[in-house]
Amino acid sequence: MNSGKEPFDGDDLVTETYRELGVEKAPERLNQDVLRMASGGGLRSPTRNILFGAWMKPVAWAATIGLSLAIVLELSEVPTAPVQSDPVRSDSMPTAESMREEALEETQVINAVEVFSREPKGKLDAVAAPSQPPIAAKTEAMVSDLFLLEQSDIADSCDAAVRLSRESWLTCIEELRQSGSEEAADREYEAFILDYSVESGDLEENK
Amino acid sequence: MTLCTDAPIPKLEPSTATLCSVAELAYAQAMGHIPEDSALMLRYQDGDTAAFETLYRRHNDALYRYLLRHCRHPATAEDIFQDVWGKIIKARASYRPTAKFTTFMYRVAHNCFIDHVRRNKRHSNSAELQPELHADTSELPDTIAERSLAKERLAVALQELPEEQRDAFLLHEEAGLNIDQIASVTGSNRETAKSRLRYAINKLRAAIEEPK
Repeated sequence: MNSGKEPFDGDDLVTETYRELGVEKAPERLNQDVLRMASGGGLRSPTRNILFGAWMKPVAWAATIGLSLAIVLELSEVPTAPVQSDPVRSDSMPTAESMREEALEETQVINAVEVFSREPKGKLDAVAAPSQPPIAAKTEAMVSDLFLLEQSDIADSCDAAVRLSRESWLTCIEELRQSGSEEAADREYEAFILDYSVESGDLEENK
Repeated sequence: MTLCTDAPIPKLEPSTATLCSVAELAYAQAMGHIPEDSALMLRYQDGDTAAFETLYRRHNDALYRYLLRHCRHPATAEDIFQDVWGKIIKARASYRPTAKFTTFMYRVAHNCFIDHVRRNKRHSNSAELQPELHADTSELPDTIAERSLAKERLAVALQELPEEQRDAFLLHEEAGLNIDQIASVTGSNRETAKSRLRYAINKLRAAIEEPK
């Protein structure tokens, strides 16, 4: 094996001692891998362990730091206030029941406004009395505002008794128009249309 | 009778060529004729995997020891070993027998090891001393104990050599390369290679002869 070597003084001792260190052989598993590779068969990547060894530590550190940050951020976002017992029923998500209640309130307010606009102030209590207390209070407040704004016009409108009859209400409207209260007449006529669904022909006749 | 080394490389189907070469190699070995490494590599270039196996079995252990002595870590040595043979297999198509096959093979191994050192600077800190070097020598006869200590000192001194000197020594001892071939493998000039080898041998001898 060493036929090509140049002679070196005293290297026999070194060579002999070196040979005594041992004659390790390549593992048979390794031999089979290489021979399989030589015959064109598959083989695990020879540099896999080298590359993995080189990158393993940085990747492990990065993963540890990333996971730690994620946990810290997750913990910092946990709310300190007690959790609501039923988070589904929150204010931001109206339920069908709450929507029904709101619709009912609006209907009652509209009805009350109509009644107040037609009835004199004395009948206000009679209208609001059957309603539920909170809704009645709200309705009363809204209607009061409207009532104050239109209080001056009430004198120029037809009273409730007149409005009970179609002919008498139209007569009243005609009288208002003849007396020069055009605005009151128009307002009454609009209310009349709402109540009796007057045909457009009647409008032209009364104008 | 035409032997493997002299026969022109036939252009046969790979399976046929392999069967033929197995018989030829068996006959050549039986007759005491040992094909040259380069001839085996050329036959492998033509698809003869049996020729490669012969070539491989001829050099695998020495190459493994060369890498093991360098790395001092069996797993790393195995990885580089596979890498070296993988490169040789891949390069078979472009292989030209312009130099001795062992020179070519150890140049690949040298480069793979240098790449590994550059990739992973920690290799020098991952030394695994061989267990037999730490055997209890207190109960052995004087001569055996002295040889055991000499081996231990040599092993330690080998690891303490500068990498270039250790490389030159291992190429000399394991691969059997001469000064010119060592210079070719390591990419240095002849005088540098000779100087490295001489320094290495002198240091190792001094370590072996070191008094207790």
